[in-house]
Amino acid sequence: MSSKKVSLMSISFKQYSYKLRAHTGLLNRLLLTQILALLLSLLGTSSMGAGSGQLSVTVRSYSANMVIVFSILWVMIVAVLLTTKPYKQIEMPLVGNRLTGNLSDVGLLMTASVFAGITSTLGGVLLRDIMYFISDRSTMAVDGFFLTLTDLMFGMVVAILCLGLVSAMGYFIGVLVQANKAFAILIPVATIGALRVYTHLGQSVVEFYIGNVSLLLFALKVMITSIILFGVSMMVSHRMEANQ
Amino acid sequence: MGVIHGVDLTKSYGKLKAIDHLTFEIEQNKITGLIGRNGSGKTTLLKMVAGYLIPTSGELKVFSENPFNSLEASANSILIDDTMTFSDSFTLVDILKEMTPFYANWNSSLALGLFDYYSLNPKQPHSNLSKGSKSTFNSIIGIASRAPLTIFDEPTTGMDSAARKDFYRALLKDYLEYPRTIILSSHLLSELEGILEDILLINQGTKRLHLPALELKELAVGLRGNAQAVISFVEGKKIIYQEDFAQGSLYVVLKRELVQQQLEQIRQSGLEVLSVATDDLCVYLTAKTKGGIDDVFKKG
Repeated sequence: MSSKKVSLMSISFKQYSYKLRAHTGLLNRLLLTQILALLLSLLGTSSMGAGSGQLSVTVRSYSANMVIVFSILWVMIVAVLLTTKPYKQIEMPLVGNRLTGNLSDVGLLMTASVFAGITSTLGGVLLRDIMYFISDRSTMAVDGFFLTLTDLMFGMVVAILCLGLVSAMGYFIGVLVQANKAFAILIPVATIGALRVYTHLGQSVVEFYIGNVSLLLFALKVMITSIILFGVSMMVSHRMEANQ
Repeated sequence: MGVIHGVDLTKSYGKLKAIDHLTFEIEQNKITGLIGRNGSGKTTLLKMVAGYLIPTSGELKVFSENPFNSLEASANSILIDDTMTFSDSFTLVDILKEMTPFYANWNSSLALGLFDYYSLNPKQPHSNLSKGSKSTFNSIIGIASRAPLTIFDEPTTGMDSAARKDFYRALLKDYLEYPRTIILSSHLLSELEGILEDILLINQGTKRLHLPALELKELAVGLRGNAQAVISFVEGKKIIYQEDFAQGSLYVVLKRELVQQQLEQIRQSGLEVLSVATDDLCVYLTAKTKGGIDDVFKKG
């Protein structure tokens, strides 16, 4: 028998690199999303005006938060998409099992998070550059305009961690829905219901993650949550039949 | 030596039993034809063997392992069917390259050779292919993968006659050069016959018979002629198929062994003794009624 021993990690990595090339379309969509967000950001996120007699002041704020928010939405959608049938089907002709499929998905989502984290943070720099050239420099408030490298790096790491966490949540939701379609209704209903009944829930969850100043602690919390979510996703999908 | 063992294998979807207490064994390095009518459970069986589906009950071993979710079994087998999907980011030639690292025995030069021969457009994405071209392309992957267990589920769907003949020939040539276990499911038995060594005939999820192709050819005999004369010979014997012709003429198919001794006598009494094509025999064996579709019209 020409049966050869195969390693889980090597097959997972092969699938990962296959999927990376197979899903370049998703990456293009991220860039489009970010450009759209950037254009929207140019309109300014908030504007307020005050005037008294001869003096009138208008303050317009610009922020690249929109780019990050859009990237978060993108990574969420990608994570859910990866669990759906058309995306799972591309694994069929390859050597592998459920676990290698999941592991390669996780690898793909981590890559996507890092990529989206870097590009969306740099989107903030790009917005500053554009503002610098298109607006009247004498009316520009310098506060917060110049970004130190440390702040940039800090922002990047936080963005990547957030994206990673969101992707783990998306993947978990996607797997649950694939396991039982009822979750497609149950999850939104339960989430909205819980937020309505316990009005502080949303706030305290956010507080739990970003309430602390230490980056290390934040990173630790995010990573542990992500690992748990991915782990449970793998356990749920373990006995699921392919191509139902 | 057996590569696939199924013992009392059952797969049900709700109340429907797609595979019903099937016990079988597929031998190593043989080309086995899995023959059955539409809905007889061929695809379900192959998907269980490939590890996509979990048997409801019974035992299934592929390379002495339970194939479901088994990396080992997956690395040693490939299932080619018309649901194979590839990303549109890949052109056809890309796909052939992308498959290489997954299959240890992958033969690149053979893949590209076949690809050139069929003159498919290398720049095309897989999803744009016509039905026949898709089958042709998928079959290239199946042959070039050289997986120790290669499974083709209805590989020739949509292929024209020339492409089908080329496929059978290519498969046979590569099999001779590099023997491996091949399962072909099809309902075009007449075309396949030449390359099959074993035939596993299933009907409604159960095994009808599992024989070497040559034995199947000799299994049955057809008698044709005057109805009374025919009946006098076959009376009390198990008839596989019978068909009435005009003017009191009757055609009956039954196992050769039942009338082996009387063949000479039968010929002398003016009846024709005909061999039965395996293709027809499989249809007769899986028919619900003895008279085939004619029975439907008789009642009216």
